[in-house]
Amino acid sequence: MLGKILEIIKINIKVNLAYAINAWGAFFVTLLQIFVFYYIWMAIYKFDSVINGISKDQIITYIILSRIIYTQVTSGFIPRIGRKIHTGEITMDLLKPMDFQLFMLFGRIGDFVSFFAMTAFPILIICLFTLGMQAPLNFATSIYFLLSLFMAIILSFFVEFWIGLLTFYTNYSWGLQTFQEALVSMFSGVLIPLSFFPGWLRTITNLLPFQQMSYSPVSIYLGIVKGSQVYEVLGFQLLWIVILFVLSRLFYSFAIKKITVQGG
Amino acid sequence: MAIIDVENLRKEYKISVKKEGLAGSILSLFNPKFEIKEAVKGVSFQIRKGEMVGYIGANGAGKSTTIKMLTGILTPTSGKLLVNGLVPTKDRIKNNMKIGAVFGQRTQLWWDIPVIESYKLIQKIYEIPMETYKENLEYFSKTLGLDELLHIPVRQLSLGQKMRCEIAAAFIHNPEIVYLDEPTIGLDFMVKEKIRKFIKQLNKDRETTVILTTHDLQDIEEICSRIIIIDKGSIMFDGDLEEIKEEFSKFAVANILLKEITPELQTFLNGKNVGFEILSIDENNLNIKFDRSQITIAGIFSNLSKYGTILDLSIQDVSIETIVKTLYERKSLGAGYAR
Amino acid sequence: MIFKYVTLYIEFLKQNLKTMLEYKADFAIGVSSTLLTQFCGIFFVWVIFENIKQIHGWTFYEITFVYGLLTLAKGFDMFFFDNLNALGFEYVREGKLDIFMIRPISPLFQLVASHIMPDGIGLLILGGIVVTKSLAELKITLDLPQILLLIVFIISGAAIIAAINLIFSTTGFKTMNSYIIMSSVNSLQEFAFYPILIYPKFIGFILTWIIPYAFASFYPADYFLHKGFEHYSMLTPIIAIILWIIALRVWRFGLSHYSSTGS
Repeated sequence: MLGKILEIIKINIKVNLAYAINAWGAFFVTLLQIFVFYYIWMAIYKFDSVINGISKDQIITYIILSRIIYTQVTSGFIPRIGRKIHTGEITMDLLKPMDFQLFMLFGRIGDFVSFFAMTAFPILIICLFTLGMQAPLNFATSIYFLLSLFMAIILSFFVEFWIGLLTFYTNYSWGLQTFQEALVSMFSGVLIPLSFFPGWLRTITNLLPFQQMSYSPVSIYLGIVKGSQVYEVLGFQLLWIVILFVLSRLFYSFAIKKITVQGG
Repeated sequence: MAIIDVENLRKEYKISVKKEGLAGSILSLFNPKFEIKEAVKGVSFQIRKGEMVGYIGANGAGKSTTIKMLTGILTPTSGKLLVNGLVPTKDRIKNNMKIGAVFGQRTQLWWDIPVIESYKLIQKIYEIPMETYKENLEYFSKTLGLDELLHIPVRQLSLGQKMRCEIAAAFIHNPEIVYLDEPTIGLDFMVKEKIRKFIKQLNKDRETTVILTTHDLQDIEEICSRIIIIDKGSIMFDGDLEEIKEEFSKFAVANILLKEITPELQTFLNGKNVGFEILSIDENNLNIKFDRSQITIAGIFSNLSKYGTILDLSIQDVSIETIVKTLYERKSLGAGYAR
Repeated sequence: MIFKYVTLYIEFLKQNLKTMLEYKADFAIGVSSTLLTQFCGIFFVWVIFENIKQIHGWTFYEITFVYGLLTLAKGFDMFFFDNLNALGFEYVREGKLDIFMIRPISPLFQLVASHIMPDGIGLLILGGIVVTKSLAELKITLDLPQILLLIVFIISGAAIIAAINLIFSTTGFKTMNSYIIMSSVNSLQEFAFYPILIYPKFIGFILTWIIPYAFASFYPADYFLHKGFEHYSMLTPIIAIILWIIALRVWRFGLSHYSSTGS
């Protein structure tokens, strides 16, 4: 079983390498966006060194990490599922001796590994030397950060998965992708630390899963949440993963019924 | 006065030569090496108005390169090329007004809209006078059976239906020259017939010059009066269809599947009195060519059965490749057909 | 001649609009998703301004005005010129460009006219709302000549974006997939959504004189905001024209190169 999983991850890494040119695109665009927002934030922080409990130094690291995570979390997975549905490829995948969703999930992890190597890592290096980055508070923090990041990826998978299944009703998977990107943009904290949000907006954000995709891991890294709060955050991420898993599973079995009845 | 005048036309491509592997690719960025490939090596011919010419050759022989140069898509490396007295790549717009084309698998009709809307766009593009447009549309619809198709979007049409609409689109502006690249590929017999009839009729009524590239010998037989054969970038044959027909209708190609090739059979095949030419032997399958005036298939059958069991036998159409091969042999034997 | 192209374009547009209205679900999703995406930028600025009062001396509605102008320019470009992106991948690679080349009209015209991107309407809606609201909140009322000037600025801005797109899309002749270059250049637009004063000088320089996106947003905006750059704003249509002259030259070069190498 483990062997199978590793195989799937490896294949996805190979596919990603073949599309190395897309990795370059992601690299350049993400880097550029980091710089755009860097300058905007430096202008915002011109007169204050701390706003809403976040210091100038923290915000730099915040932008870098959030933007990299955002790129990965909105990596065009939805059109891929959409394409599978529309070309009928999905019927082949359903015949495979592994649960389709699980199959896609491990593929996603493979994506993340190549993304990290080809895109995230070079960006981090460049930003470290040009903009400066903060290190995590201590070793424990970095462990919790990685754990939170891992959960964020899994979580984003479930969100993308069930949005992807929506392509049943429409041809336009890129439109759905854009929708997801916009929602993630607004509510995951990639644009602004959520502590900047006015109260009522914060409440709404808490009801949505998107902050678990980016804000949770990053706020752990930067020490915005400390001590026992960290466990709370991790707990919430886990809770959301469970909720989304159940939701996507329900949707998935409904979709499968439809596929097998309609014949793709 | 030739409507297409080609003299010593050449086309060379520079192909970059890369070494293998990652290191090779990086090396080639700094020190690019090129190889010159000659696709068309000094081709000459003249085509008169109203001629229907089959321009044939194996894949990669230089056919499509020549056609692309004639239609103005590709610039020649050197040589004289005049179509309608114009240089296609220099006077592209003027030349294009007078030509039409059907490019095999690519459609010039717009995918999502009904066929009639495509025609309307074409009318505007080619500035076809309304009367001519209406006249042609009516006539083409009748001859090609387009009436039920006109209001259907192209993406919903079958291959045969699409092709009929495509052919009409190529002729609707009364071009002087029409280039047809594999127009009947993949079509069933009825549709092929309709299309061939249509082309012939238009050539008769309007003196439209037709350049046809195809692998379908039936197309050539029915439509073309003249054949130009190109191979490896040079012209191998340029003459009347009748000449070739005579020569090649003599010959037939057959596939004979034997149970096994026994040593006795092998000896027979190696001998001088076989009665046919062996094109290839693939395991137990003999691919042969024979002269019908010299021997019948029945004769071959009875000769071979002496040496073994014949499991299957089929007669093939003589293909372009076989014709070209034979021409090569003729050439090397000094019987010069090329002009 | 121009008349022919104008009437032809209208025909093409009619057909494209008909097709667009057939795919209603896609249309709705496309428009609303681009609208929402652009809204994120406004959302961003709004949340920031819940916490501070000005950035570099610019207030909320001054910034959104710049943002809205670029959104409008982008919307027009996306609606009319989106097909430029497909040059390499679809038209060169699949040989559809050859079909264009045997017709007696400009292949570039056919490339642009063959397809519209309805998603652009989402940008136009959002941009329109943002610009109108910003002008209202800034208590700037425009008389007729100024409205016309604003329209000229917006159209010039769209022309600038389209010209830059055209220049970089010609890489599609060689590479058959211009996606990377196009998206990289397009991401420079991100900078132009906000007043370029907040960036270091070299970025301002690039956005003004090299890839002049700032002329699609910042400089024309300042004609109405009077923050010291008004004199630049009148250059906007001139820059648009110059860029198009360059772009057409580049296109012609790309096409003749394609014609001699057969891609």
